[in-house]
Amino acid sequence: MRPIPVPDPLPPPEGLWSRTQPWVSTGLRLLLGGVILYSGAIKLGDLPASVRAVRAYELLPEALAKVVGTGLPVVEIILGLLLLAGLLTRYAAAAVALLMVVFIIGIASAWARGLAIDCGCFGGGGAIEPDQTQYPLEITRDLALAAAAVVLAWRPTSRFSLDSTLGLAAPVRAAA
Amino acid sequence: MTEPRPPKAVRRDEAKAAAQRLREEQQRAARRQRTLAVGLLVAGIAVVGVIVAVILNQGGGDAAGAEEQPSVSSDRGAIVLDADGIVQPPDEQVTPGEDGEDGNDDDVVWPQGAFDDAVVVSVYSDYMCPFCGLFEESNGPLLEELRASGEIVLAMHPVAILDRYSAGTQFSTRATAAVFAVAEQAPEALIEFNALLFANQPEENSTGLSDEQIADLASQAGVPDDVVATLADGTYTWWAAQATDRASQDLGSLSTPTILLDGVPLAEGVDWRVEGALAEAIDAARG
Repeated sequence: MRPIPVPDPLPPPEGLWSRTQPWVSTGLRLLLGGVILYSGAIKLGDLPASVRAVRAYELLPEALAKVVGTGLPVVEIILGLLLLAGLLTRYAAAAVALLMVVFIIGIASAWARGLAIDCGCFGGGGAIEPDQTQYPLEITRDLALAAAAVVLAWRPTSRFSLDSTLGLAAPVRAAA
Repeated sequence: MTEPRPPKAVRRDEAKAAAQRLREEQQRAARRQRTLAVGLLVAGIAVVGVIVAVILNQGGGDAAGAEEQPSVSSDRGAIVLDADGIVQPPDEQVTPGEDGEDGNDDDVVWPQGAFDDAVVVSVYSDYMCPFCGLFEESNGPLLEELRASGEIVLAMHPVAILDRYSAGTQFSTRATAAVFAVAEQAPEALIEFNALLFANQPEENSTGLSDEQIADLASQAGVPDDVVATLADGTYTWWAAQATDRASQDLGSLSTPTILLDGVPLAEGVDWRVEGALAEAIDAARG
């Protein structure tokens, strides 16, 4: 028994998972980073639309809707850049997972309340025709992204990351 | 202690020591990462806060009053026309929810309640929106007829929510700003200009109509040359953004076209694409 409180990021060097995990994490990191940077950049290109998209959920009071609609794209861009650079991977991935859970709750609540809106996940947003809603797709996509983020937060060690370059993470392999 | 310990035990100790070193290295890395994370988190929150504050302050450009709202527009971005043409909004207008509570009956916003014997038909439209074009085509003549006869008052709400469909040329905003400018400076040409913009509606994801094309349509609608020459100046670009934002606040989720009768959205099941449906709903609203 090894008394380590956190999961060991270095499973035994033999085994398929230990060899592929850093690459899997690298893939997840680039995928998540790319998606969230893209969605943030699109929203930043039309901030009034981002505020309208938040408003359309009818969950937040006006003052807060403005702050969230404006701040969310900035947060997404920062998280996307952190993930792409592989800096503070564990924390950035955890934040993305949290964000996705919030998104899922928002979309599910809009669905449950019978609103007909576009999630505004990648720009756009606002009211749409009731037969144009895509809640199951939007929730499934965010669930998949949340799952990817959880895996990455659990095993953040990855190739080509600033974390390892800066010595913020344990080396990928113990053996040199 | 002359005898060396069994190799197995040595190996185990070495492995233990190696594991210990590894753990320590990992813990150091984790500590470094935590320290940096906290630092960056604080910095990140500060950065986001500053950016949001800057952007929100920019957005509130009406606060300074440096630019003047078009006098023909209500505070909520409506251009109101009765049988005689554009109705000048009153100086004092209620802001919805200004008592801190939304949805109160006493928050009746002009032009609601100002025209006793006519139904106020509010039409929110974006000049890039195909269904708005279809609405204008199918119901524009009817609304014109009812307006001329005094049965309705038309509250035009030009909004710009589809800028992303004009390949970066912000056609929705340019068209909306031009409509406010024409309403302000050549009010008698407004109805025709509005109709021409829809009749010449560009495809979504095209570059929209150019400033020259918009100016041509204004000329065709009878806007005087000196006013036409100013349309591309974007005098009311900021007001187009404001009107859009306020419409979004008022409607919750703003989509186009949205049609309100005396401030109430068309009932579910009323499809204005069906001939006679809108006329029937207006009749019902008159009560």
